[in-house]
Amino acid sequence: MIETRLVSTSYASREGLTGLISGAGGLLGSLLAFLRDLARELADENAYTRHLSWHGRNHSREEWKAFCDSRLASKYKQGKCC
Amino acid sequence: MALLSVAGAYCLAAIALNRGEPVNSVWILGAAACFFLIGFRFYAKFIASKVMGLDDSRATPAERLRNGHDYEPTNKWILFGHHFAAIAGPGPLVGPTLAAQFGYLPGLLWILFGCVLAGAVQDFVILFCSMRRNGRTLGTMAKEEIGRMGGIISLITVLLIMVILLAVVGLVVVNALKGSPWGAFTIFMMLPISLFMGIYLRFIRPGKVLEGSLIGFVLLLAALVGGRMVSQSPEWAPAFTFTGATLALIIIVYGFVASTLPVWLVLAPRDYLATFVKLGVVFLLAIGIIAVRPELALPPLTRFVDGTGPIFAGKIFPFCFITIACGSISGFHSLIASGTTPKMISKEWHAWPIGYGSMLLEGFVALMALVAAASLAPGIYFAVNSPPGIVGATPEAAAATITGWGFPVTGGEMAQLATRVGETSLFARTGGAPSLALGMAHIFSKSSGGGDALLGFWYHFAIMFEALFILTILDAGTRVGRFMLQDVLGLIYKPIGQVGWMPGIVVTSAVIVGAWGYFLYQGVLDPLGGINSLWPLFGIANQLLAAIALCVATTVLLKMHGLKYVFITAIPLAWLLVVNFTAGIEKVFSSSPRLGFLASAQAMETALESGKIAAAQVAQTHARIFNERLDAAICFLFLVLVALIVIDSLRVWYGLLSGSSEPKTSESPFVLSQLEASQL
Repeated sequence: MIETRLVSTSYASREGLTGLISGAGGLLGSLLAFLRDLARELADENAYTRHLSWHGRNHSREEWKAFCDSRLASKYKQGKCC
Repeated sequence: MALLSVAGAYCLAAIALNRGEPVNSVWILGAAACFFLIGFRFYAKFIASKVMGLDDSRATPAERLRNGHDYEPTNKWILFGHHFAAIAGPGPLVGPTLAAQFGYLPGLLWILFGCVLAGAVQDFVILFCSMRRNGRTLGTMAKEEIGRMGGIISLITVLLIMVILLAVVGLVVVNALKGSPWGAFTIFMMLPISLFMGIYLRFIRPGKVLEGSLIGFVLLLAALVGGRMVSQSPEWAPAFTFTGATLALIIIVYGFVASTLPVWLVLAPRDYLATFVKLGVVFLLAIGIIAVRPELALPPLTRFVDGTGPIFAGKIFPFCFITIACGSISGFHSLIASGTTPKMISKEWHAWPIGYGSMLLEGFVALMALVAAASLAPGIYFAVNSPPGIVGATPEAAAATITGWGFPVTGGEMAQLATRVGETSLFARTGGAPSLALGMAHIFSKSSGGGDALLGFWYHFAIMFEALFILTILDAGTRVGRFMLQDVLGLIYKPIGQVGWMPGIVVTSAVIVGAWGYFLYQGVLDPLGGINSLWPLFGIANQLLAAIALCVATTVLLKMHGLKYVFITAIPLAWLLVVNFTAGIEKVFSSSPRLGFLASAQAMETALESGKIAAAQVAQTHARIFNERLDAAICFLFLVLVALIVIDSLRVWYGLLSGSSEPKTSESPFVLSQLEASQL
């Protein structure tokens, strides 16, 4: 079975935001959690978390630099839509 | 669903039966919501289940080829947001604003039907095809399904579209910022803000993109407030007041510099910011429209359906349908649907909301832009969007011409409005962005309770929002064009094909920037506003790319089911070919100088020969004659390229239907999915 983590947790501490979301509860909590995860996906933060976990590495400035260079190089080979 | 149908029919009836009275935008958005939901539930589901045979037990490329990089199973709704953010650009905002010169009804109907039956179908089917082919690109699929020529034509078409697209969006920004120190200062400040964000994310707080974007947004708002102070300062205002030509040169130089700088320094940080601002503003606009419920001041149809419109020439058919491209059907979406998204889908059925649903949401954005533009008084809408070459160069002449058309407006009224939004003049601000910003500003200022006091702030906020992602398109597009050119030139001289070789980067960037910069500069000098020539050219190019995508999709459906379901893509394809070939031929060969490129060149040549052109204008007229002929050649080239791919497709289809060729599909073989529903 392939392990799937579709909504990933951050490499860095996010107690404040997570606390707020879990505190909100119910539908509002789910909505906030969704918005947080969407924002993290759009900001490439989820992709970075996946990169760290896939390669079994820890966050560092060099690691972010390496991830960023390869991620952005492939991302901007495709034009932005009109 | 029955309730939805009744509600949709009721809203449409309210629009149809309210003769002689202004229609409230609520009816339009209500009708659209019901129409889209019914299309999504029935038509798209039919395509998904019967035609595509989506199967959640089949492993997607994200699962089979998972690599922690491109291929990664992603939550359905997160990917929906990601895909929507990628397909949504300025097109669905500007196109409907320009097409409102025909009245609100043609645009409304084209967005509704175009989205459900053509645009969303194209996005969905191409996403499906790519998903079943390991996430292959449109060009590769064209090569595999149709033939080698399909792949080459797709590449050339994309490169040409890119050049025209960058010129036209650059023109939209120039027209929005000329003579506007507030706008120019705010937009100029984006460069240092992006640089700061780039350094912040690289060295100060690596990886904290959300945090960096939030700081960037606060700085942008500060720049917006600072822009107002600059515009009111007698010392600073002149320093940030530019003519169109100067702004065009600044944007060209900026495009070159930004595309050669490392991507993490300017492009990526601004792109993060642009994405969040874009989604936020679209959401705010929806809330604002619901709160304010503006009435549409524009009539359902204007006298300009006959082709005499001031914003662009040409009759309602075919020009309404190419002016609204991205809001109804956009070929560019097929590049996104065969790019990142198919590599991230966890389950096949997720393609239904992501591929089809995202396009419906884009259509909804286009409708909101239409509502924002149509809620302006018609006289103001035409005064802002009409070029001086049509309505006259002075405010008095322009007001008299527009009032003569039956849309009353006065110079005093326009001057007062300009003062309220912090501008010196709003006449002849062609390109769609200023009138859209005016409409949005009215909605935002009413819904935020700030009234007139905040009108200027909201106007410039809207301009900033449009310029933010247009500049990102300029940077990213130049970079993509550069890569394509490097690929091609690398075949002749190897080092130039190396992505990191600086001389190669500089030369290819200069060529691409020079190409779009040329069209941009000529557009700025054009007395008809430039939009009259460039926007139709862009619309034709974009939809011809959609025709290529639909050729690929039709070929795949023929191979899967024979003729049974081919109508799904063949009917939109036939419609696009008829519309775009009619528009293209009219743009090239029409005998009307306002419409036909060649006729316009001929008219100027005749005027030159008969000595009607002032000596000071002779050189510029020669340049305009050359440009009109160049536009004609490019338009004709688009038609020839697409005709070639259609002929090639017809050859393949004939072979398939006559049985002389085997329906070989390049679909990847079935692999049982190991992802369980509970994990999704």
